Amino acid sequence: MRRKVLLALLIGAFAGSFAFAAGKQEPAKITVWGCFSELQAPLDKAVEVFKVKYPTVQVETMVFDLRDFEAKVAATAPRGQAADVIIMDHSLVGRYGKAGILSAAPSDVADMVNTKGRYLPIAKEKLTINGKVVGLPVFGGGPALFYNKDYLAKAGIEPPTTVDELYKAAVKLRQMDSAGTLTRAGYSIRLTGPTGGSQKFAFISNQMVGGDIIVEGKTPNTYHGNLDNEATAKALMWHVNLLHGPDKSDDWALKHDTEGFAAGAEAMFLRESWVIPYMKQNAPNINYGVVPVPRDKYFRIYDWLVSACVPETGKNKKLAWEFAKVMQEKEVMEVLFNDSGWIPARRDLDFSDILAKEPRFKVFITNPPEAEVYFEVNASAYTELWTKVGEIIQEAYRDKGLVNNLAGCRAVVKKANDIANQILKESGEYGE
Amino acid sequence: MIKFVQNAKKRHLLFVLCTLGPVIVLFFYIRIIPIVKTAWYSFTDYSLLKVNPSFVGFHNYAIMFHDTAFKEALSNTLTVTVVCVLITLTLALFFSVILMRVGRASAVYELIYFIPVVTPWVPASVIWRWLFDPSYGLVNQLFSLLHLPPQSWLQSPDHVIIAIIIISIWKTVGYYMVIFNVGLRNIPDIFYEAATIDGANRRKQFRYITLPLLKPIFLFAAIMAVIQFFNVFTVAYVASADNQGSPSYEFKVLVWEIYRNGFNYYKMGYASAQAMVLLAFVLIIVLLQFKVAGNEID
Repeated sequence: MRRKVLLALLIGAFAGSFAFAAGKQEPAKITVWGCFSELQAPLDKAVEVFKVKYPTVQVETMVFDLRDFEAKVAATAPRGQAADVIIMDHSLVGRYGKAGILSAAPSDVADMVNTKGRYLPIAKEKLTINGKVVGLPVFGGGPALFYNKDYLAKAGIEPPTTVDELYKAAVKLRQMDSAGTLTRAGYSIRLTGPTGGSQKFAFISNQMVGGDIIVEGKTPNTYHGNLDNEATAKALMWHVNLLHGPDKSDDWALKHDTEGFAAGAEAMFLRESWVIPYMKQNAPNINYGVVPVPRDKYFRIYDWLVSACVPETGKNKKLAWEFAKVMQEKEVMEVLFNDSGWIPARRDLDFSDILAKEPRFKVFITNPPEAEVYFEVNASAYTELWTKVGEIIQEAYRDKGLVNNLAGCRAVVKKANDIANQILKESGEYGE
Repeated sequence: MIKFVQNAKKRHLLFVLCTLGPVIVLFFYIRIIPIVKTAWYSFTDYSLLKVNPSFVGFHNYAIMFHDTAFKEALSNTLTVTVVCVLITLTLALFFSVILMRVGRASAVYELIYFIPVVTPWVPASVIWRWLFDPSYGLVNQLFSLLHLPPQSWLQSPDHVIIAIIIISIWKTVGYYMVIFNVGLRNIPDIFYEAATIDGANRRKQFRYITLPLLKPIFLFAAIMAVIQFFNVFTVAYVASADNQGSPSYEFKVLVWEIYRNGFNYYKMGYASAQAMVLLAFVLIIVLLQFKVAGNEID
């Protein structure tokens, strides 16, 4: 009898615990994923502001390196397992938007995007997929030329304004040891990492070609390669000549990019505005300046748009969009600008106090009026396109036989063009 | 009596089902079902961005033959596997034979050789990336002390494979050394005593006693090593992947290509086909090993 009573009590307690768990109200929670590690500070600020209005909602933020972020979103978003808010660039917005993975913004958010003067005019175009607004702009910003003032002063040259001047300055600013080994790059070229590599190649080729490496076709949502031309071949030869031969001004053995610039291992390089807080933190003693991207026959400056999007399968879409709106607040935008260095997407806010403290940001805020701003296309096969084209370009950088060899360079860019068109045909996005 | 035996058999069967059943179900769920699904996806145009994949037959396998990136990855993976298996097992056997003679201090050496094994791949690869740095790395510093020219270990397409192989061997030799130690310790001393009495020197004892009796262990180690090195990914990804501040030559390997096609290019169908090719390669090599070495063991 006692056993039966004990068994009944145990079963009752077990069943009761389930009922308790089912009835217990878990606090609402949203997760936010950011595409760069430097977004942590503005996200923390956004959480602080968000909690004033929604004190009971838990917010979990995570930031990643860009390529790992893209893979994580690819693995989770189509399965409905991604974060509630994903901060992604316009190429990802295009891909996931067209696949129906992103939710349409509520009307008040859509009105923000459609408000004239609030963001760059391109924001509306990039964030409107199939007639619906699917994101809220957070930041953007293209490259500019960073140069070491001390090195240029010692060499007696001014910051270059044209591609030709950049080449000559690179040769003059390089440094070699007694054995002829390069110890300082005159101009740091993006030598590895094919996806970003093709993009950085295009920073120069756009000035010569007047168009990007992949361009839109006549039919909407179609694209084709724009590499098979003499101007792109000249752009490739420009790079190869700086890597081999008598004008060698860069080498794989040197530190590169922002790290190299901070270490004094390079005199000039093209990069975005996030470099400014990086230099402030890691190399405050480097005396550097910033000027617009050098021009050639054309003057084109790359830009991009990173936006907060909410997946269609999110459980807390209303709260997620509220968080996206909080990211638009001036105090959050100020932390974004100051701490991460990225240019806030809001064009209707006054950041004069930040610009007064760090005037080098001005180059990124206002482009010269004669410059044409360009964005990369929203192809679904974007990553494969830029990666495989970049692999061919960076492989060509290693080929000493391409020094002053325009015909050889032309064959390389034709191959890259053919590969690009093949990829577009496989993804069903090819169009002349 | 018969009923007793039948009941005992039933109880035994029930016991086996209760204890092994959950494990077998879990094994099917996390291993067999994904393999079957991957095989199915390899015949479709499954994309992460596409809701309903279509059947495409052998299309994914056909384009693999023309994919230069895949061919390069396959070549690199095969090279790393062959070289690493040969060198790792040889070194592991050499160290374990030496340690058998060291006596009590062998435990200390075993610990030292096993430290790389327990170090996770990611931090180990990061450390080696710095060791191989062309400007600040310890390896080039040592080279300069020996009056040898500095090398672009991770930057040169010719040298990056050497760097990957060195890291892989450093990381795994301790594990196989321990395995061979177990094998060596299980060889009865009486064989060596008899051989000594018969006048056999150490070299002959090693060749005619140690090696034949180690064959089962060797087969096990060889199979494990082939599977392990065929799946090389972390060291290639961490040591040679794009680091904007320190250029590296991207060393393509099969698993990285599968990952890239699946999660960067969204081509899950094609990535599945590559995964099936990887499975086929490993299966064939393992079966060959069984065939060659298994008969001799029998």
